[in-house]
Amino acid sequence: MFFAGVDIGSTSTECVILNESGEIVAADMRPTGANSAKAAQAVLDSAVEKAGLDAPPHRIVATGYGRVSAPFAHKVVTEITCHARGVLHLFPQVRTIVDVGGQDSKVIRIGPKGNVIDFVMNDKCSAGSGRFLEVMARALEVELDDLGPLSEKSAEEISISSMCTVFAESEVISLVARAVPVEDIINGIHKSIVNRLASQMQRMNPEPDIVMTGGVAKNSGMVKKLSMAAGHTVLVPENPRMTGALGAALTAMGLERE
Amino acid sequence: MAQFVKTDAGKRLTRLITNGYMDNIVKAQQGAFVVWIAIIVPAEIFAGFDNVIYCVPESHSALCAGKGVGVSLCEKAENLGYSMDLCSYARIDMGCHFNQGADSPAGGLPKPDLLVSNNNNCTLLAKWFDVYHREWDIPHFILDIPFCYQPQKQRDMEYIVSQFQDLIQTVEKLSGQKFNPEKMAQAWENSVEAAKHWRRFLAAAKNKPSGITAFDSFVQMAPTLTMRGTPELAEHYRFLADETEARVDQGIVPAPNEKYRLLWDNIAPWHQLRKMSSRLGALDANIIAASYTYCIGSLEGSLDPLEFASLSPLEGMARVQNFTICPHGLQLRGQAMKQAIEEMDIDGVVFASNRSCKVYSLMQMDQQRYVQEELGVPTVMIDVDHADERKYSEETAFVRLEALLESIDEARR
Amino acid sequence: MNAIQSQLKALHDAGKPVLGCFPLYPPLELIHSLGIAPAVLWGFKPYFPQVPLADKHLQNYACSVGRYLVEFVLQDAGETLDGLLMYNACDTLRNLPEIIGRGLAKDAALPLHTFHVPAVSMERRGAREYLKDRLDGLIAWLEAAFSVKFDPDAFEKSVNLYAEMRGLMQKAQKFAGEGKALFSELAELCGKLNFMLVEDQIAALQDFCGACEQKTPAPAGSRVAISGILPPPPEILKAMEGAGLTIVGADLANMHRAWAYSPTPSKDPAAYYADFYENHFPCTTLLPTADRRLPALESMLEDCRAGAWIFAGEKFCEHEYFELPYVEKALKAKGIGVLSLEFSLGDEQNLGSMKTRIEAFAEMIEK
Repeated sequence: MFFAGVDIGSTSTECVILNESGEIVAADMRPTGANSAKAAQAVLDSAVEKAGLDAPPHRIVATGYGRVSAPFAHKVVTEITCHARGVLHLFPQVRTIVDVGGQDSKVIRIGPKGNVIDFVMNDKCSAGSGRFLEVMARALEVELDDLGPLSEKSAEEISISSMCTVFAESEVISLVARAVPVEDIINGIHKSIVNRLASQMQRMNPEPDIVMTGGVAKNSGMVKKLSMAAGHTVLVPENPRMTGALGAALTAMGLERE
Repeated sequence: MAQFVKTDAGKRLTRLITNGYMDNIVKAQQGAFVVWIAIIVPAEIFAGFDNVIYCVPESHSALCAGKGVGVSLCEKAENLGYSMDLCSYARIDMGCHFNQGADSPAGGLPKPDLLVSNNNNCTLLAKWFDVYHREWDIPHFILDIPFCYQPQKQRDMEYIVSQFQDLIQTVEKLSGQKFNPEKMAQAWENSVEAAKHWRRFLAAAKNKPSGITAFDSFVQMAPTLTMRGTPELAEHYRFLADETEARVDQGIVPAPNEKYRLLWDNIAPWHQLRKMSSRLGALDANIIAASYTYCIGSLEGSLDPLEFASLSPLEGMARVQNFTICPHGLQLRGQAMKQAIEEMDIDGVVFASNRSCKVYSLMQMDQQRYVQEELGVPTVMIDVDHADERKYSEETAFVRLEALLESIDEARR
Repeated sequence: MNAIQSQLKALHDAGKPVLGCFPLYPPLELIHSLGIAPAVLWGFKPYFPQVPLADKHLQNYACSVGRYLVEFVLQDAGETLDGLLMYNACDTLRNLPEIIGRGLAKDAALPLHTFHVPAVSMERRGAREYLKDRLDGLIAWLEAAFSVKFDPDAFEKSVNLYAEMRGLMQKAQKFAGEGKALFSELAELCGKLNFMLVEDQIAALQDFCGACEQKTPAPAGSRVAISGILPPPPEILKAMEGAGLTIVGADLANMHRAWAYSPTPSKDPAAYYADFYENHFPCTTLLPTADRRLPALESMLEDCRAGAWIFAGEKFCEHEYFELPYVEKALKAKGIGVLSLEFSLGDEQNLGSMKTRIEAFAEMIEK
């Protein structure tokens, strides 16, 4: 018997397939694009193929902002719950999860029994999300993936005061015009996002272990800054984008037991 | 180019303010009864007691923002769950005082024994002080001052005076000290005297080129808030006015090549004073006056100096609740701006739309139309926040400010 | 014309002069007793997708309440309203009378009165007398502007009608808590009541309650209470219900806060309104009720057996947001699940994320 979790996010869609013992037998991801239903189906199909299954998984759970556009799902569960389950599976001691996705960021508090006890999510404003980084990377004409390594070369931390994405973009452009080193600007951008995340986190009384997930967790500069702000080492799963899908697959397993 | 020569009055101010904050800390340690007040609460009342001191969180927040710690203190309040949309003065204050005075250049304010707010200048101040009232279990006395769309009526004045009397009794009861009306009357006289000199200082803007920038006057307002009723305040403003007049006589002015005389409408952006005035100076523009600074010494839609001869001190203080600008509706404020524009020969008006001050800002779109269309003076609106630098974009603001200067040129052709 | 505009037009065309009032707790009984139809100008959000006229007068950091209010009045005040009455509450609203005055074309000008309610306890020196003077001034203005005459007996009658209406409101909320009606239906009805005469409000609530009595209760979900200046938008309420939440308490400015307390009936407006404002169910906009807020909310949660609390914040409402951290902390300490949502203009872009939060909250408190 196999179980699948599909996480349909704003930028990418992931799928994880587990066997009866809860081991990952396949994982796949692809950009969500304009048609999330199509992406969900496609990523499920390719994961099924990767796993070498000849029938669809026994139970499928969909999550993520596009969770309702997965007609094949037996159940729909929010990404808050799924991230918590996925991370808890990888890091049994986790108490705080910081997830920074494309459109939003969230902080989830896990209780001693492994259940979600509280969470916050950012509002419309994209400050503190992956989107903010994307806009800044574009303003700096730097690849998104290069932000982390570049920031670590910075000798000085420039302060980017504006929180608003639009304001910050013009501030960054004026720093470029004044020939401030790009590494320092990136370092400043990271700090500004981390301040925002730290503020969300503080409200939750964060306790270790703290785990960061979502695409932005791949940015080493951000993780270091967040660790400093939190006062604890922030842990990152090997594949920080997959925890939602993993949690969904674990939920699918749970469905069978019910 | 604007000149940043620190005047003697400027140096004097720094000493005065530093000593004022230090004094309060020392006196509080020695057992003084500490009151925190909204800026408009009649501080002269406290001079009627032997050992009552007062602190002004709004002014302290402005100081923090001016010294560059506004953002970090705002973030501290946000970490406690206070919304980023709340007034940045309040966020700075809570960020500071829920962290034992953290980051304050003045070492924070001594903890209060009584909070006195006032819903006339802004209502949110009562909600802000309520936070301390709940967290620290300290009494909070709200002065209920009717907002005025028209000049104060006799009945309103009586209502306000009765509340002042109530406040006096409350302080007597809580502090165990006896109130002396003569000492209060003396303090009131000092305040009236100080306002007189302040007006003399502001009048230097009428000179061409202007003898002052509004940025100088913003900074010099601080002791009115923190030292009201003291002879030192009157003396300081006398010194300030004398020095400014002498400098004008000698032809020493901040923007000698003044091409544009601008009027500022709103609270100062404390984190930008130096930057904004030097960048404007480089364009031969000078913000010579601000609706904000005229709140000292005039009432209700007028810039004319106060006349209190026929009123008792408490009545005078009740009248001052309606000082020019914030506690007023659109019409009275427009009237005061018109007078400023005419008396000071203003070329353009900068409406600073201030996210942290709705009372000031949420009528500016109509006010701007009035100035632009009915008075025929070019205007611009820029986005600022008085103390949270994160909500301000220098580039965006200056594109607009420069456009204003161009439209003034256009109008002159 | 949208539904609310049509409803107001009908009220207007029925013959009585219509007085648009804001914000939430104006002296309705008094106005009604004079043969004037009071309309509380509140809750326009579901009816206006945009606010192009208001955008010429208010910056976008004014709360949506203010912006919708200005939009509504400027769009068709002349057709539906005969006057405006405002009392003091917050820093945004106090600027609106003159802004509206500027916005209305000169020929569409409306008689307008501003009314100061003491923002302190009636026990404070001079407060009661000042309120009495303000009420006398209001009565004089109403008499002159609408050629009517105050009558103490008519006032008492109106007072009793409003007391009856408030009682029915409480009954209706109880039915929603028992699963005999959806809270979203009640909230929708309450939104319309603002633009009805109290007699019609009573009839509408009687119908609502009558229908509830016939129903068998739906299975209860997680019991939740909501707080805020406004109910969340209809689609959000439906999302809450869809996620399995049963809204059993409504600490909302136009619901429980408005109807929880009925003053002692009286023929004397001064005595009646001193009681009304002094003992009003706590609202963040009524400064003197602040100390009673948390205890009142906690006992409301207990009474309706709500195990979770949703704060429906109106973006830029200082009055609500200064109190939020304190209330949130106190409720969490009692083991009550808390979800804080924020609403403003342009929420439709944000619905997906709101729904996620609501569903996640439902998943969280289910366990």
